[in-house]
Amino acid sequence: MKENIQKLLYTVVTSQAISSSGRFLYACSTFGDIASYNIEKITSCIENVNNEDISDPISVFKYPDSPISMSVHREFLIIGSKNGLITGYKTSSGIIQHKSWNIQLQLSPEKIDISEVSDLWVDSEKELLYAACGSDIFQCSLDNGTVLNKFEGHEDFIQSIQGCEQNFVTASSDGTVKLWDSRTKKATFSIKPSENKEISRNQFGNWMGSASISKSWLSCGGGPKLAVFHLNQITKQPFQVFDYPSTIHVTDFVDLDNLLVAGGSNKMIQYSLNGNMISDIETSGPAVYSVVWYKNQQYKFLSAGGASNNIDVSINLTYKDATLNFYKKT
Amino acid sequence: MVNDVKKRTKTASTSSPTKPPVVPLSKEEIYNNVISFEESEESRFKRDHFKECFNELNKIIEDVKALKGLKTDEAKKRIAEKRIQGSMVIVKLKKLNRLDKLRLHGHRETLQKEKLQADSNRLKLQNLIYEANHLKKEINKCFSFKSEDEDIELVPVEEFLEKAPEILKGAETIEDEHTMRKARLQFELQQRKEYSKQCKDLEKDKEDVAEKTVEVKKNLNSIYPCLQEVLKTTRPIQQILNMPFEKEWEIQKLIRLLPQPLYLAYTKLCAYSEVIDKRLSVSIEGDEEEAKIIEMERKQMKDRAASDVEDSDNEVDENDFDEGMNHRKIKRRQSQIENLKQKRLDLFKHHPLSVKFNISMKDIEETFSVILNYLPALGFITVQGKFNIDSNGSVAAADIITQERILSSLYADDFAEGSPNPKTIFQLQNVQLNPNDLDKALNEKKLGKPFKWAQNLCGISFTEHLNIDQSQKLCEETVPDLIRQIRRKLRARISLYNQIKLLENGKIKDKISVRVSCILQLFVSISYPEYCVEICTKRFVQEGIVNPNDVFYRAVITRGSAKLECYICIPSNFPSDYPIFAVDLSWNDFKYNAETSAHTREIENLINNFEVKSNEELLMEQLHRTMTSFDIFLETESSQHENPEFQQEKRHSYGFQGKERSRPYNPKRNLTLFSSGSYN
Repeated sequence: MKENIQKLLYTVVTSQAISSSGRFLYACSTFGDIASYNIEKITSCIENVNNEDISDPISVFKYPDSPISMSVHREFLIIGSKNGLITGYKTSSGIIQHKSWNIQLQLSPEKIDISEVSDLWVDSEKELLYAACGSDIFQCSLDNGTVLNKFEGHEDFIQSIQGCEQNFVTASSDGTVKLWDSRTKKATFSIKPSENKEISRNQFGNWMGSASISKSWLSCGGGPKLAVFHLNQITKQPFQVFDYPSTIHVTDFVDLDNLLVAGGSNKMIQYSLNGNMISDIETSGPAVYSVVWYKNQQYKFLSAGGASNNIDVSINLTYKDATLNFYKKT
Repeated sequence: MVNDVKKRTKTASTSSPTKPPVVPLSKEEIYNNVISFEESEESRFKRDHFKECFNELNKIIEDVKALKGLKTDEAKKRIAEKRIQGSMVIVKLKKLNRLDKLRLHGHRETLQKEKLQADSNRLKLQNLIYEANHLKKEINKCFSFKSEDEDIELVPVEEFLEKAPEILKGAETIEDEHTMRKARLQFELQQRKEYSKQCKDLEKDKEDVAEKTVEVKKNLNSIYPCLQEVLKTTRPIQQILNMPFEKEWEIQKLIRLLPQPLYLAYTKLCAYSEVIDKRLSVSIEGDEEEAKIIEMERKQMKDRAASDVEDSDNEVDENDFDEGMNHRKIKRRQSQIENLKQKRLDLFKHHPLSVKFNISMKDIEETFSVILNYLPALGFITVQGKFNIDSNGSVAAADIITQERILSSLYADDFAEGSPNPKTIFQLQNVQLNPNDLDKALNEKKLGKPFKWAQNLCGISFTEHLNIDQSQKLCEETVPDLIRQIRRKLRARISLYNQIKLLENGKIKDKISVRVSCILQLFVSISYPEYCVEICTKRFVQEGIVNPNDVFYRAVITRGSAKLECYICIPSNFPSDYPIFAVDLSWNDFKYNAETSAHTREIENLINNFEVKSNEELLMEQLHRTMTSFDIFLETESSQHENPEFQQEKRHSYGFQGKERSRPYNPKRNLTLFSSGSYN
């Protein structure tokens, strides 16, 4: 099959990141390209019902390997790829300029098969990077690039990592979700939702696809259903369970306490914590692997990428406003 | 006035008695005298005299009336007197009357005379006018007279002055135009005489030579049987030495009869086959005699080119003439239809000779032959292919190796749809044919299709005018690549054909190392509309990745309760483009395709884009890959279930990987262990 056709038909957007200024969106595909988009322009075009074509990326950067996860810190775009390699690229006005630094994580030989950096979380206040690689979490200093700590405890590779203040939460293929305290370097709480009959879904498996925390809540989902736990008086009993129809790859708290969920179907749904559905966005592809959002005084922006050449954009966070192309149609 | 008349009457009366005594006169003389007298009297006659006389008479009558009333003697006397006077007046009147008659007579006579005179003058005048016209005509004739010498081409004046003998060009000849001309004519005559003499001499020479030639020919002809005899005796030697001279001579003869495009193709293909490609053989087919006739006609046509122009003019005239007559019109219409039919036939007439080349391949028995036909009227080449493969055994596979599918799309977008020649549309319109019917018409005549590469092969270009050198160059450039392309396509297609034949019977080549647990239930060919109906193929149809010229198949693979349907498109330019699979997976009452399931999308991507080392058994490998992927999907999927339907039969390193939870579809190097990873 011709390469351009293959790209149009089979692109998978694995990760996205929004620049720290909130002005640019980066997205990476399985073909090793990183596309950047101008968020300001996109939002203003949608608001003014401008016919200007904003769906194509402003630039496409060819990453030498396959990028798997992305995050940002200051002007750097941090890319996690295979074999425990994390690289920092300097960006300027949404254009990736050059490689600036890299961190090579030391992996134990028995875990070499699952060595990709599957997710990244940046604690920008403390200038710390948390990288989920295989079944371990590495805490790195963004100041000098040294690995400070290694958090062990999961038995299979980690699907997602996300944090809030000194806590962060991980979801793993082994079916557990663990809450960690960065100060004690230990899991303060661990739960296996598949053991709970209320949450488990046999047909999808035990794996946990995503977990996220806000100041007072923890949400997680994957093969089992989406469930929310209260952080203050944490128990193994969920505070609320949601019936998302498919597997879950993404959960996040959007705009204070709205719970966003997306995964192995073309539905991206937002719930309020008491279980009401707030919005239901139909996505371009059959699965969503990455959702990022940003909010400041001027605009709100949310984008979802997955098993499609298209990235779906919403500027009021509740319905689809536009779709961006990763690869241009020729 | 009365007095005057009286006097005249007196003189008249007096003169007549006085003359007789002078000369005794004869009766005629008297008569003549009287006449002459009366003529003289008459000349003095005036019409007023009548009036005077009547007035006088009236007065007398009135007087008498008055007198009668008196009834006196006096009156009686006077009445008598008056009566006498009255009588006198009457006499006078009588006289006047006579004179008047006489005068009338005289005048009539003069009138008659004058009339005659006028008539004769008129006649004279007309004669003169006639004569004048005649003279004018004569003058005009003289003016328009053309001397024959004007048509004669004379030598130019300069040359004349240079070459003519001195006698002809005196000083005055140069000055006077007429004499000059006469002199030139004279000179011309001299020269022409000389030339005709030369001509006669030469003709005589020619005849002599011709006679000699005839003699020589006779001699040669007598040698010919001897030569043939010699040739016959050498045949065994030719065979023994394996040097078929005679055959080559025959071919050489044929080659000369080929039209230029076919000639080019033939020579270049021959050269290529001799030097580079021994498995390519080239030959000429067709009716030699007919070709000879055409060649002769062509030569004659050249000679007659000029006279043809006149002929066509005459035709037009005839047509104009016909239009008046109704019954002729009908006849004409019939003849027009006949004419049209003839024209159509002429348009699609191909040259009796065609060039055929056979391509054979190592390890493969089947040979493929391509026949090039030239259509002189349409100006392009059509191509037929022939495959000596026995395709009766298989329905689905036969589609792959039809000659059209092999020849079409050898180069990008060359489906031979429509004519390569832009003129063709108008030529077809001329004979009232729809341009879309070209294909049909060519099919009827079994001429094949006008592929673009065939035109290049024969050095024909419709975009620019090529001279012979450029044509040759174009031809030279086309040959090697074309042969390679055909061969590549043939090889791939034959391999594909064999694969499909196996698949159709449900046989799939098993790789020893990888056990396939699912079963190929069905492998059939489907039509383009059937292909388009399916949901999973929608994307390919919409994006224009597949098109109606491709070949389509449907394969059904099952394992347990799960079913995978593959809609396979073999692109027309296979093996440049690989077969494209669209898969539709149904399991547990769910149907998944690339649009509804990321997993199916992933499998589809893998099948459509996996790298192969060679095109050999590509389809088989793709299908094998599909089946192992299907197995792995089912196994990994059911490994999550409490009561798995499918047991894990393949070893994989990790079940799922990455955010998208890819399954380990990619076989590792030793082919027994599967892992997930990048698509490539």
